[in-house]
Amino acid sequence: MTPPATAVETGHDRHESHASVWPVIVAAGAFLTLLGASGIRQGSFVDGTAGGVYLGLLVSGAVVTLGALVAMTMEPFGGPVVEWAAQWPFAEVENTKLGMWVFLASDVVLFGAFIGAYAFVRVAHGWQAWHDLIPAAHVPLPGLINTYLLLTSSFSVVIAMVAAREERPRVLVGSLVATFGLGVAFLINKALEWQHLFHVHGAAFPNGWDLSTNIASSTFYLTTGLHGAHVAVGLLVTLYMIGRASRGAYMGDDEPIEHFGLYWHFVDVVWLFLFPLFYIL
Amino acid sequence: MSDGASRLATPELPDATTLKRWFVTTNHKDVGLLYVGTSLFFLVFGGVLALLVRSQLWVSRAPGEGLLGPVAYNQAVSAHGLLMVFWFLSPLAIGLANYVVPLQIGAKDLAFPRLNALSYWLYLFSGLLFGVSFFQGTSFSGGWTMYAPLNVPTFMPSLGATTTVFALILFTASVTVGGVNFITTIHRMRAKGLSLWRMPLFTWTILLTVWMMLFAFAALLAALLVLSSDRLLGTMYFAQSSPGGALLWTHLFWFFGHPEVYIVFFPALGVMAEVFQTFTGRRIVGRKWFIAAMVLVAVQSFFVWMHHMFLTSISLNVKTLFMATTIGISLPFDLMVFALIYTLKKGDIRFSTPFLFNFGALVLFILGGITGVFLGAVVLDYEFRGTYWVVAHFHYVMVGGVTALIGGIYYWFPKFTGRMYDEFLGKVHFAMYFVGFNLLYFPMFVAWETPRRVFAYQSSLEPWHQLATVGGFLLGSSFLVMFYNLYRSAWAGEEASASPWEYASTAEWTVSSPPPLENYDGYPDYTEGELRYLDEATVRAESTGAGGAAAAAADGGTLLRREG
Repeated sequence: MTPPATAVETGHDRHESHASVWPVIVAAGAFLTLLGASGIRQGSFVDGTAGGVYLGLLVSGAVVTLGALVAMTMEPFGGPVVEWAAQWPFAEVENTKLGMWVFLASDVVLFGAFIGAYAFVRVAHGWQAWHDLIPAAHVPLPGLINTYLLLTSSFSVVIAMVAAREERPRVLVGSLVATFGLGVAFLINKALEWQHLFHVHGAAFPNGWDLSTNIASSTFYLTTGLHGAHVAVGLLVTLYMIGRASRGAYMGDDEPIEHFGLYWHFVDVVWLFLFPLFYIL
Repeated sequence: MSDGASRLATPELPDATTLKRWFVTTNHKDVGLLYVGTSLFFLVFGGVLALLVRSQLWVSRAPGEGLLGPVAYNQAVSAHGLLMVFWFLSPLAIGLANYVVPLQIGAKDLAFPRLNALSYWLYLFSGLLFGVSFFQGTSFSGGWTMYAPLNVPTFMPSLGATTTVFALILFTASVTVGGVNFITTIHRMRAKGLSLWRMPLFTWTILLTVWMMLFAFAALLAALLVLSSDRLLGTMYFAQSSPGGALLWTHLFWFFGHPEVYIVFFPALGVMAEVFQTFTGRRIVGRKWFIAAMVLVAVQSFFVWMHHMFLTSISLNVKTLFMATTIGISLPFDLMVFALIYTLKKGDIRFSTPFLFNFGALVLFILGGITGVFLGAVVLDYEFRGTYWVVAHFHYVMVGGVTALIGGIYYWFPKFTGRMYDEFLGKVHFAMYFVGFNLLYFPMFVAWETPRRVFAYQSSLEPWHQLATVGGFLLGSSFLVMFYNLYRSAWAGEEASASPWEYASTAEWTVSSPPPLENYDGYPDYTEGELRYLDEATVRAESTGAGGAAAAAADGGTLLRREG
């Protein structure tokens, strides 16, 4: 099932593909997923049969979307080949890498808006008075541990890239597994931290500190949650690449790993902004 | 296909007459037609809602009177705005761009054809999701700006309102995927010698549009994700108790919302530039200045958003600053308008349907632009905000843009279909459209004291609203003429040559109508200053430098790079 080494490898010298069934299926899956999620209110599905239907739509939609995305990734597809082109100012960056950079540029704005929203409501509330909205149990240590975990995983991705370039399959798989493990550790650490905060007791927060407690908890959970979702997506991609790498892919073809590395570094850098904003200041 | 390489092997592209073709195609021309067709469907959807609104406004009414109840009216107004701005206007432009941009720059397709198909299907399904929202209680009913705290469950508990927000999120996904694709394509896949300065103006406007989209829609996505979280998970960003929550929404929304105005207008400007050049037989006056002005507007569009917030609690100093940037952004537009007018003056005008629509668009845009300057002035805005002055102004700008894009459909119709539309019916369409447009929107300037978003107003203004309603139905029915004309001509029209327009100068007119699947047989090249087609041997020879054609041809693979 491993896709051919080059996307355009066919019986002929070169062949451009024009058909793929997966885009429409991905979109249909996304439609079902979101329709299902629309049945959620205040953290749980609406009551009665309708709630069950919404849950079913959500689950089946997620399965369809994910399956179709994987299938689309594995489908051998030859896009147009750039042979004779004016490319200023991106002559040195090939298409997929440029596409990744451009996507990340939009992601910068997404996180920028989240961070801006946080700063805006915090200033509106009073920058220092903000601390009264946060329980003493919210300490920097879990965030600090997570900072080291993510930084290390960025390092292991670079090792994976070099291993692919130098055609050392065991180092490649090993460093991808290390990346995956560090990412999972990040999420577990975060889950433990959140679980703890949800159930803090005290005079100031008798019902714990969850998403609806106050504006500080809302910004904390949502902004770091969006980041956590980015980590989770990255882990899915890592898992996919581990699967391919263990069957011998990427040897001498380190570009896919580099493109993923760009994303992974970006997620790392975002955390370097979130950590001081939500744990120290 | 190599035998049994994979169960997931790419299927061959089915014939265009089969239904299957349109579900699996990734070709930019097919996807472009799908976009154009779907966007016209949403034009009808949003248009029917507008006619419902205009019918309700025939006379001033109390709640419960007339065709629509209060909540139904709010839904109709909100959905009309959202559908027209997001699901009709931009996708129509993106549809034209999908078809035309690769042809204009000399590329065989967009950089990532499957992602292109994906962005179309995400667009279609996001629109369907919007449609479903009407069946989940009520759809979103807080206006297209979705202001907080009206948008949170306390005030809008319906699940359908959540679905509307999701529909926008899915649409944003489509826009982001499409934007990445267009940016990569236009920057990396232009024919050799086609520098940015030489690039056709329509492609220029699309390049700037997709860059603006990339950043503006990311800000909208943030706003929508926060809103979804407030609605689904119970976070408190926009709750009444939130410090600055309502103001936060306006910042996030209008940081997106003002660039959005240029996002929908720039492609129209590009069509105007192309059509003016073709139908006057003259290159646009001050071409480089025109491009520089557009780049300036694209950048500055991210620094004017607070002029939508003059009636909020932001400080007067900030308001004044944003008044200055807003008045400032009208200056490059003045330059563009004068460039277009001088092109007319110096050229030899042919009054065909595409030209009529685009000339009409220029006239309407001038009116829309001037009336907008009033709103950009803080003091005048205090008076005009929340009235029909605003409604009239932005319809002159937005639907003025639509006018140019409709002209674009007529302009490229022979390229799309290989057949000519009926010129007489095209002119009938324009006459009905232009009269209907002005009958619909101009009275709103006169009756500007009508409060926005509600259907009760001073009864002395009723005659103006009745004129507007008549104009609305005239404008709507003009599209029946267009649909009939285009449908009939697509099958039975006169056959069109590669270039049915005498003075068309861009590359899409050098290939047959419709173009072959991969656009060009040879390699388009501009290095000699004008378009020529090189064969494979020449390209090989030139790109390997020394060594001669024969040696290079024998070593075919070296310069082929694999692309996603």
